[in-house]
Amino acid sequence: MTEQSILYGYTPSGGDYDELVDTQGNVRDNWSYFANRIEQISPDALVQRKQLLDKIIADNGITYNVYSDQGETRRWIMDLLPLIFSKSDWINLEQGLQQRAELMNQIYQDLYGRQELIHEGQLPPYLVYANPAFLRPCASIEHSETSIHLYAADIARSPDGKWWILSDRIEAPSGLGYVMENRSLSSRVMPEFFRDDRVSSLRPFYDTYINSLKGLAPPDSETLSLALLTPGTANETYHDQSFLARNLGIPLIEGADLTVRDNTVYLKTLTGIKPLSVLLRRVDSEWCDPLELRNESMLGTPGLINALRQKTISVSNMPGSALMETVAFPAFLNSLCEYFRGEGLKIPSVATWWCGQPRELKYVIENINKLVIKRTFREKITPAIFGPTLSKDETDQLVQQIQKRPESFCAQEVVSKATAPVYSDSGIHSHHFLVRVYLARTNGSYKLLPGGLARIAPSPESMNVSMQHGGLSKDIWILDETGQKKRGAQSATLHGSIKLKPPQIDLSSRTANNMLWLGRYVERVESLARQLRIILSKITQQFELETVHSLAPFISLLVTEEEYEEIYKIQDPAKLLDTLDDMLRQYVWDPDCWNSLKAGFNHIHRIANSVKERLSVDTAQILSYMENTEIIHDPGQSTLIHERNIEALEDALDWLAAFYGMTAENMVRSPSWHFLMLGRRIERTFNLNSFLSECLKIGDIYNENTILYLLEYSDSTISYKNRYLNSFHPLAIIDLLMKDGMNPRSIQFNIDKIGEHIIALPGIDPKADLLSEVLISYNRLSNDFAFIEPNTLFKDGELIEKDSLVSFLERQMDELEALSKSIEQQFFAHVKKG
Amino acid sequence: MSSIPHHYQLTHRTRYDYTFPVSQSYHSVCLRPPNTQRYQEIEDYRISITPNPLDYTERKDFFGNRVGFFSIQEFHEVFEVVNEFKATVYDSTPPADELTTTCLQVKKSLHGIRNRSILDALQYIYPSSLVPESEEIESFAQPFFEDSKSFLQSVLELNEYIYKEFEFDPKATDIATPVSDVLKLKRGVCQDFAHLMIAAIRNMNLPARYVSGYLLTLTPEGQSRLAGSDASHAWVAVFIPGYGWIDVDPTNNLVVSNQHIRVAAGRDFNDVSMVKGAITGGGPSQLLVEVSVDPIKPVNNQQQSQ
Repeated sequence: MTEQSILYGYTPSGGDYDELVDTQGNVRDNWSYFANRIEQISPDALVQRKQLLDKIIADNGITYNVYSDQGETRRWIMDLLPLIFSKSDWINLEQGLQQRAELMNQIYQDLYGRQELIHEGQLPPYLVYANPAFLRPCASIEHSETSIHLYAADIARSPDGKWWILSDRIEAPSGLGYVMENRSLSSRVMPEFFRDDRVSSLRPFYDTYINSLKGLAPPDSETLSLALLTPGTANETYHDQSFLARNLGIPLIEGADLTVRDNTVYLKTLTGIKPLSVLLRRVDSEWCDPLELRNESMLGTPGLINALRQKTISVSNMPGSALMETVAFPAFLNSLCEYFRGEGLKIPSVATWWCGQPRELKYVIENINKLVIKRTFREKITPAIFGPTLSKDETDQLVQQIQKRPESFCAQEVVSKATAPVYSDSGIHSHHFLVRVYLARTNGSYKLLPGGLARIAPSPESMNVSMQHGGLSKDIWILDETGQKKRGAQSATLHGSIKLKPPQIDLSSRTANNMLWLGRYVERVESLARQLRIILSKITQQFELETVHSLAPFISLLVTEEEYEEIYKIQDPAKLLDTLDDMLRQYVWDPDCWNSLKAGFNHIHRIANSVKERLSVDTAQILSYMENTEIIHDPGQSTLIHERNIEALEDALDWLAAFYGMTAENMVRSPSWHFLMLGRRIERTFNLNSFLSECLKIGDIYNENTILYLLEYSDSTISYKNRYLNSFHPLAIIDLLMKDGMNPRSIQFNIDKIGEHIIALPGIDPKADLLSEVLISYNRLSNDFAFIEPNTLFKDGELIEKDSLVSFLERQMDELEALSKSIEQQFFAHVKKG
Repeated sequence: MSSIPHHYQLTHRTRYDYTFPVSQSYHSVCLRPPNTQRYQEIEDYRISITPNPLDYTERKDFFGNRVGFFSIQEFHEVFEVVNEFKATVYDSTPPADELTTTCLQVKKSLHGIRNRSILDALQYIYPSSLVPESEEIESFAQPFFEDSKSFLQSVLELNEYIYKEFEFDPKATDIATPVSDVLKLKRGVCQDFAHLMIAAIRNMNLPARYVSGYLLTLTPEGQSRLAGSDASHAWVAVFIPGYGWIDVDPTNNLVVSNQHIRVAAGRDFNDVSMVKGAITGGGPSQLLVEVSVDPIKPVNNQQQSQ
């Protein structure tokens, strides 16, 4: 390599195998293609490419969730340089990995079946019967020939260049989505390397993968439908799951989207329940059926295991697969391979000793400071102990623990990891890495993905390869030395034919429900912000007892009954001001107060996260700005009643308005949009009823201030003044807020809109002979409303029917609740009437 | 010792009254007693569920118990399961004097011999979710189980000890009370005593399992038995290689004979819970359990022969 090359001067940290250069410092054959080409790109251009790479990651919101109290999201980091292996290396690897995946499938089927391995003494009974990952309810499922459909493993290279299997990933292997994302990133920032098709394409593997998933469907399933079951947005690899589902073209669903009827698993959708034939499981086995497995689980669906028994559905990988990840198993794999296949393992596991055997126990104790000590079960709960770092006392203690319950301990050899070059602003450095490889079972054999996920330690010194601890990733390129493939094969997806698709109508019930509640919460928070702005601004402008009295309806709708009484008992203005400041702050900043602004924004955040895929990129952006709006940051000691907080409320209102502006212009008019708007309209109608009736009940509707506040709350001041100038009359405001169909903040306008959105929903037919419950509820609401005539409630300018107007408004609120309930039952719950 | 079989009519009612309607519920029931030559014969078995489910299926679980599955897909505020059968229970008192296998012999044969029944018993020497490893319980158990002592003798001594030193007190514990607390409190109900005894035996690496079933409550003579006053019961079974499982009841200091009806056996309560459910909605619920075990005249075969 020449001096111009960025790779020039690269020196690995030494001792371990390096991917780029051999021990003499010469570039290895499989890298020469890359090394020659990268020389053509100037260092400045590389800096720009790295910036582009980071920008695409940020713009696409590619993230990784870190487990912490805050539910922190970490941006995905991909190195600019790939990891390159030759095709012939990969073929060797494939043979060894195929053998191992097949072996795992056989072991699974034996242990969840006849258990010959235990009866014939091939595997100690303790490792299965005492193993919390052995799920007995799964043992009565009759297994088809593929139990482990997707096999993954973390592999490492030793100093002599040989591969070792560090751990098997079988329970619910993650990363296939990230692998796709990494490839799409590297093909965008390093396009010249992909032009002559020497880098193996990933697409054929994914096509095979989705086809073989379909092939898992039970033979007599009526329809072929697949879905990816996710634990939800808080899961560490949620992004991976959501990306994978989108690219495989299957819905991403949560346990709450499913229902089991007559031992068949159904997906709840807007248009009713649809049977599912294959479930791609990313929820851990133990959590996927609260009836037969962990009963506290909210992530799965009760009845799933029995549906598997009745063969109405297939699950990949089969529940119970975590058993195959038992830390002690590698100690027995070579002999199990001999037992099943008459041959030894082609790729060794990292050397493992199970202390439940006397000879192994003796070895482990004698060599304890050279080994890594792990628990036989539940490795996730107790971290591994690194023997070489133990003090004398710690060693003695550990030995005692092991001798007391030897069967609970395993030991493994300390693994050396190879290094690879990593690009950074300060040059190219060598980092340690691990590779995760993936094999999918299709037509009776396992196929290896020509690529994988390389996970890289965060710094040149670190041996800790973990995404949880700030590691980075690399795209893996398998290079065809011959370069004989035809041009254009990879770009076919970009320029080839495409099937046009209508917008997605068949939304899952949970997503639709979330959209509705997103609409309700945004509107609720807006209403609350307006209410608080009125209260705070009036008090700030002119603090008198009378001001507080005129605010009574607005304060009463915010605080509890006891608080209300306390406020209106106080006669001393100074004391009243203090009390209000003290009492009202919880309704702004306390996340545990159910109707606080903070709690409302938290709800928006939570719901928005789970429907992110349904919102446009810019809309999602606004929601994330909204999270940082100033008003919800508790300032600690400083006062609430202050000019700066009124300004902050204005800001928050601006963001809320921007959200609706953005959705109005940028969202496709699909059921998602109608549910969002339905939520908003229902909530606004409810709030208008509630404020109006409160002003009638405990306010003085003849008081000019009450009318002004109501106008300010409903942003109708200008419309009112245009019509009535400065004459304030209750009939005029009641008419404007109730019956003026042109005013978007009147009840009439919102009830009309509710009707429009309902009619746009799937399965709603206003001409049907038998009206659905939703339409019946809506008709009741709108008919009742049509009959109320504000004029007739007045006589000689006086509101003589105040009580009947209040009870009418309250009845409307009940009818709105009934409407919400019927929407929930028809679209979300799909419950039969008893 | 009389060897006349006893005959019972059993009715076991489990009823949940929910505060709000339940929209959907999934249940599993482990209520069907097995027919075994040695212990009991079951006739006229019937299970009635309200509301009536349309998808009832039954299977044998890993431990060999019969488990029923069903769901209810309509709004309901009351859920009720009635389990009914006639049972003929034989006197199965084991020949305790002949069973002198020592604790050490039990351990050795469990790890040395590989036949189906030994392997099946092996899973009952390991910890399970409600019967964890515990140093306190280990030291509690130690004096009872010396290697050279007869295993059954040790078990019977522990059985008697729990009966004498622990007080039956339904208020002291609930279903979530861990077994280590029961050891400290020295109080509890049949389930607690069974779990404690199993934990003691397993912490000695010896096999013990949890048995669910029904017990005929003896009443003082001259008083009529109260229908429904009996509850479902739980006790312990221990495994002696070459003989099999022997049931002992620490709540009553008994070796099980012809007053117990066996329903199911597993590692602990979680494996054999009689009525389980995963429900949507409902809110707080009220549970009513009634069991009546009534002695009856023998049903058909004896009538025919007379």
